[in-house]
Parts: sequence; structure tokens; C-alpha cells
Amino acid sequence: MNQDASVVQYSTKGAIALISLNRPKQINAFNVQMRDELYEILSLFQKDDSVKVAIIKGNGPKGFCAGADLSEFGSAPSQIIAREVRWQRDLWGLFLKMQKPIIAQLHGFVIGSGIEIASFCDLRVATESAKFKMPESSLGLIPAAGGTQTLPRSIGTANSLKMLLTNFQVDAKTAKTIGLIDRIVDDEKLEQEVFLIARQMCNMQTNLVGSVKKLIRNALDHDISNGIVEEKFQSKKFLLS
Amino acid sequence: MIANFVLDKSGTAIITFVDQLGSNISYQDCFWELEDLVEKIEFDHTIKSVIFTSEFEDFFPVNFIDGHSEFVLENSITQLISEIRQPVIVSVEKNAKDYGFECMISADIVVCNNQSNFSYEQLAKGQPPLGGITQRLPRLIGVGRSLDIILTGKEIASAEALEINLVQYVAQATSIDESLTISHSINQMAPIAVFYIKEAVKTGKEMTLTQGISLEADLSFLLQSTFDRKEGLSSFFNKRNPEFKGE
Repeated sequence: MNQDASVVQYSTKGAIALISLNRPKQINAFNVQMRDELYEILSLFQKDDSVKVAIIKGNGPKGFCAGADLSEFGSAPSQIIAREVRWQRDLWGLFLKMQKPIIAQLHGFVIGSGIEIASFCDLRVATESAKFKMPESSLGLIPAAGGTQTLPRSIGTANSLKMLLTNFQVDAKTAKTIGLIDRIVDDEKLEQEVFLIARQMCNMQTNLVGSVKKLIRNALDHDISNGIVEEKFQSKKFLLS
Repeated sequence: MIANFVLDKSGTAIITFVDQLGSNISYQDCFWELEDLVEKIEFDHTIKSVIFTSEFEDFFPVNFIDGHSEFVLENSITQLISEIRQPVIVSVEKNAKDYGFECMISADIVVCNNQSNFSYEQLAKGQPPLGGITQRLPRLIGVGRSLDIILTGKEIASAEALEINLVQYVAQATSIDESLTISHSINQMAPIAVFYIKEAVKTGKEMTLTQGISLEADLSFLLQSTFDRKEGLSSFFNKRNPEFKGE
């Protein structure tokens, strides 16, 4: 992949992979090319035994991601084809299957798809000045990257509806209070702090992390007794391996 | 009449529980009246959002319920509120206790006054839950906090209610003004997108994450055929306000 022309860049530093959204002039607006490249890069990261954790960030000073690139909307030949492609290149399903941890490094504008990408990550670290918004309903749209599902699971139904139905802008402090992000750091220390967290995660065993991630992701999908049985099964499997 | 109905110009239906001093109103009267209103709201496409508010000291007076528990279980006002298609805001001007508390958490967004208090004392009175609190409250604020409220009957002030996500807004002035501001903001959005978002959020939460994501994708593809989607994108590119039709 020619990294200069790429809208998603991939590099590694030790056991840490850095995945950078690279459309800084468009505040990393999410487009079809980005979806395809991110899909390839996540697959590559998952298979790359030399790395144990990824950081996903947005290039440029303005923000992590300003949402979907609306100029491409309506470009699919039909809804039928659009639906087929959605499941052929199921980026969001791939995020859910990732065994290794991914940290979202968030700054500036984190809008629409930007929030949705971050919500599929395992930890969200944002600068004090980051701004969060889900504007889809003001554009006659609904989120299509899992936002209506991941948000209620992290910030609750009522806060999700508050954000999704009123285009309400949330600052970093509120985002942390409601559970949209996990940590806030000084603007100038973002990269450094995220890197430190990633290094801590490198000490963990990938197969163990993968199994725990899956248990936690699925925890709310079944009743607690079945969940505990599954946890015991996974732990036993790990101990015997 | 206990439930006063007003529809404002922007498409907000406001239902107010009216305090008629000296009248002998029962839960049954209130339920039948609300059932008719909710049916009317369901089929009125000019209604984009709904606000419930109350003139009573407690959002829904406890004495309305007394002696009618079995009827309440079979004819649930909380269920009526939770099944409304449009976004529902509950505006608590004073306090919400017991069944009023259960009505409150059946809505989508709760706004209260900075003097409001909340509590659930049914168990202390030897009464079982009547309006779904054991299911709705843990989904809103988690299991531990729900048990604390339900088993101890503790009183919660507005600041704590906001902190634990029992309410989403604490109004500095009147709760109804803040609620109207929120509903007017919802009314400006594309109505079908609003209904689909509510459906995806609320139904999807009861599915597995994978099933929920699939539901969201299908609703999103369905929305691609609407006039409002084209209008939304066109208004964005032409830097003008959209004129949604709900089509």
C-alpha cells in the first residue's frame, strides 16, 4: 500500500501499532476508501504477531474524525447493492472480532462516525478540548456504524437519545462523566499518555486479552449465570493451554 | 379530565396531569383518558415529540393507586408511556415518588427542577412494584444503584439524580421551559430518522450487540429511500436549513 496516498496509515513502534486516519484537510471524514483501508489494516494488525496493541488516531490538528463524508452519500447504484457491500466489508463486525486491544486517541472534533469508531475501541482517551456530537438526525439520517447500539451500552439509553435526537454537543468532561470516554488528558500530553497506556497493555498475553474482551463484550447479551459459565470455561481453557 | 392535552405549533404534544382539587378521580379514569390520548398521538403525524408534566406535588399522586393495585398491573400507564412512538420527555416540576417515579423512568428523557426529589417507597409500605421499576431502573442506572433506591426508599435530590443518570437535565428555571427547548430541538430533526433512532436504541438494547447492529443497518438502508434524507444532504451542501416533511 502506498502510504502517501493512503487515507489510513499503519506503522509500528515495538509492540505498538499506530493506525492513523489520514484525511486531515477533511478532518478525517470517513469515506469508502477509509472503510476499505481500515478493514485491510485491522486485518493486518490482527495477524501481525510482532504487535500486541493498537492506537487509532486522526492526523491533523482539527480532530480525530468529523464524521462520514457526506459527498459520497447516494453514490451506491442501489440500496440493495449498498446493503450487500455493507456486509461484504463488515468493518464494524471486524472491530468486534479483534482479539488485541485498541485504544482510541481522541482530539478536536469527534463527530458521528468518529464517535462510532471510538466506541468499537477498548479504551477512549481524549484531550480536554475534544468535542463530541452525533448530528445524523439533523441530516435526515441515522447512524450506520453501530452508534445506536454501542452508545446505549456505554452511556445508557437516555443519554444516547439525548445525543442522537437533539444533536447535543458534549465536551470532554461530560463525555467522561456519562461514560462516552474513559480518560481525559492535557491537550499537549495526549500522544505521550496514550503511548504509556499502550505500553502497559503490551505486558498482557494476547490470547488472554482476546478472551476477556469477548467475555465483556458479550456479557450483556445473555443472562448472568450463562455468562459466568462461559467465563469459567474460558478461564479453564486458558489455564490448561 | 385529569390529563390536559395541548399541541403546540412546532409539533410537541404536552400532557399535563391536572390537579382538580376536590374531585374524585381514580387511577381508572386516568388510565382510560391516557389510553385515548396515546392512541390519538400514535396516529397524528404532526406530533413529533411528547412531554408529560404534572401539577401535583408528586408527579403521579400516590392516592390514585390506593386500592387499585391489581387494575394497575393489568392496565399500566407506565407501559402506555414507554410504547409511544415519538420521543417522550417527562418534565418533573416538583417531585416523583412511587408510581410517579415509575412513570418518569418509562420516558426517554427526564428533565427536573433543581428542587426536585425522587424516591421509591413501595416496599417500605409493604406494596409490590406496579410499573416495571425492577426492569427499567437497572437498565438506566445499573443494578447496585437500583437496589439501593428500591430497597431503602432513600430520597434522591436533583443533583445526585443527574449524576447517576436518573435524569438527563436539571433546569435552573422551570422544568417545562427546559423540556420545551429540548422537544423543539427534536422537532427540527427529520421525523422518520428520529423514530428509527428511537427504535434502534430501545429495541437494539434488548438484542445482542450483533443483532442490534444488523437492525440499525437495515433501518439505515430503509431510510435511504426517504425524501428527508435527500433534503438533509442537500441542505447541508447548500448551507441552508432543511425542510423535513416526514416522508
